[in-house]
Amino acid sequence: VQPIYLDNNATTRVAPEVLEAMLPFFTEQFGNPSSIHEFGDRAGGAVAAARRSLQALLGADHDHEIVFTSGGSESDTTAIRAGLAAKPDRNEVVTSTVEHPAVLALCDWLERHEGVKVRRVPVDRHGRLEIDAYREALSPRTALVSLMWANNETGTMFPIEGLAELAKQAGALFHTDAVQAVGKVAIELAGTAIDLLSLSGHKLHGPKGVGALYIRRGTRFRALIRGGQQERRRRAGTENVPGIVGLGRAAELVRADLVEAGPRIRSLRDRLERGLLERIADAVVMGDPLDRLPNTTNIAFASVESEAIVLMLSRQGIAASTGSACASGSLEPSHVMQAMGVPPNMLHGAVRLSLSHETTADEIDRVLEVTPPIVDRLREMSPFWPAPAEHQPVPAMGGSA
Amino acid sequence: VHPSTATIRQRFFDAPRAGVLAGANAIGEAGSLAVGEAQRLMLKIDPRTDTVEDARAQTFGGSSAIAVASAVTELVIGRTVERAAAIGVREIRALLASLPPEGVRSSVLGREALTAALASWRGTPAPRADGEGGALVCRCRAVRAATIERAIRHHGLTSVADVTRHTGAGSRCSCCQEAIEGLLAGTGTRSALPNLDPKRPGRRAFVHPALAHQPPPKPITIQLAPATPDGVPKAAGSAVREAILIARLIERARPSIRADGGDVELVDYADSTVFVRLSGVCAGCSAAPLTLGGLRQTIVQALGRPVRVVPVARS
Repeated sequence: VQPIYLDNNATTRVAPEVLEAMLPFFTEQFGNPSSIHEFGDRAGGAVAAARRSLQALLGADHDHEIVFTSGGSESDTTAIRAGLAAKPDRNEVVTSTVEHPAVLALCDWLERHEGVKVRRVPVDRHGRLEIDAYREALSPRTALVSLMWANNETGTMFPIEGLAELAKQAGALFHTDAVQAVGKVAIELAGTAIDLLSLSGHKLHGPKGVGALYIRRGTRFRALIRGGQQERRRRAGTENVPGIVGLGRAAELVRADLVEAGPRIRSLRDRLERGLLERIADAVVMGDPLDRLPNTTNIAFASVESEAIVLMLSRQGIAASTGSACASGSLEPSHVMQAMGVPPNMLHGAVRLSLSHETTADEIDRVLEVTPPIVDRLREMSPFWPAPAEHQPVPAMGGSA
Repeated sequence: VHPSTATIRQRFFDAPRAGVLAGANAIGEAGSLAVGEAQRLMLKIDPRTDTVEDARAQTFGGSSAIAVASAVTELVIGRTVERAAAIGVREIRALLASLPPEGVRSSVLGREALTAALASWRGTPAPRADGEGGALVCRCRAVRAATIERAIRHHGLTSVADVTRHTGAGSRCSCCQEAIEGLLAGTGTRSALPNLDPKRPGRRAFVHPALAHQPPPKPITIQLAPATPDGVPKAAGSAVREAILIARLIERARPSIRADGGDVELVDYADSTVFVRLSGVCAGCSAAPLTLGGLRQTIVQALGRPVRVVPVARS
């Protein structure tokens, strides 16, 4: 059976065009962009072209607002530390309870070891940011706000442009972890109040190990990695030329495809989601029903445990993920689900399915066919699942059936 | 895949002896929904030979938990009760080659379920889980009885809320509140919450509806301390009175639920579990768990002890 890959929020397949663009930079075009000979020039030119592709994808004003990094986590770390350094008279960071661990763990560290005050804004049961709490958290002490554009587990999108405006009014810098949003929804940074944005190559059919940080022109900045003049002294280290070229090509492809692929992916996702809810009782979609990534669905099944579902799906050739790929393998339920106040019988049963432009209707139909028996089987095994209807106890008191 | 993972996965996929055992005469449980893992072990023991003839297990959990449950059923079949009691965590793990770190807890839970099942057969209270620190009272926060007892004596605590504040026990779910009450009573301080059913102190077993028609197994009580000293047995109808109270509370909640286009009705009440049927827009609504959660809180407050609210399949 042909495997079905529905874990595109974890990582994506490198597009064939991307690989093709990268290969020469391992072989003939192996130069170091800092070198002044022909080899260096070619490599430098390719990096510059990739930068312009990213600029176009993000709708940024200038190509030098893009700094290449090793990926989302490095971009997040650089942005938050740079933001704090840029506002030396302020020492508070405002973030949310559902951020990616790259942001949350850094904030925990800054709070514990570096005297930074961190305010974590809660979310409601759909994973939407509590706007009033956000307004209250902002103050003249806020150096930086860091909020994700789209949540990796539920796909819930925060109204980032508006949140950035509020931060600007408070005189704070605004960073967004847009790792899950870039390539899935249209982004136009020019004219917004967003100062810093993180993205990652391998979430948009580019290679792993490369990402970028957008830094609005004029934003005070401090490099995380020092020692060279690369990236205008904002990120030392010889450029990952093949990776950067791959990211640039991936950005071009996704930009060209966004308008056409977005609605198609969304309709497949909706078909998958509706189908599962129709076929499986006591299943609940997690996340904002209205403002959600078009490719993501996160469904919690009562009384079963998600690792068991994911393993059984995997045996049928379907790659899905437990609520959080990062948390899978650990016993603690996902911090996102906990922050959303998901009830205990659902908390451990969330499965995330994330589509891409490669997903087909046939694949969705196969998932719809395979999943219900798996959930049924696990529920039969579960001590918390009520018995089938014929075993229901006789009603003890009145009430129409 | 690591070889030990392969062993566990194979057992998980095959899941031999998973499910309900008809005619089980010894049942033991361990774990809870809130901790993300629970096992119910059902044994059929021949009373003449005192030998385990058959075993099955229901498991809520991941691959490690399901593999452990199957291993326990395999180990226990054919043994006398005495020899079954000698099965230890090490023996369970040995059968599974070895367990990943997150699977170690599963093996402990499997052993606890076995202990509880054998205790229910003997009709004795289950022995304290494992030596040091006494029984694991709060599974969510891993707080043992000794810690709670010490805190009660040291600080003169008198309520469950006090204990939660001092030890963290009971801060996540409310499964262990009764056990905490028991400890409060045992150390000579009065519990703030009335114990409505003094005949069954300590942990309450949830009886699967499929087993409800069978003679109920002996209550599985991990007895942490004597029942409330002032526990005068109430008139035999206390469960009925509770059921009437629950029915009233549900009737009171209905208008607001109906106003949203849904409905809820009481189907049954047994063993601290309220079975309700959701209809209208509530059926399949993503907010249904919250509705049930609110209902549960109301009922828990009125009864003064934990109950579960479980939706039953739509008819």
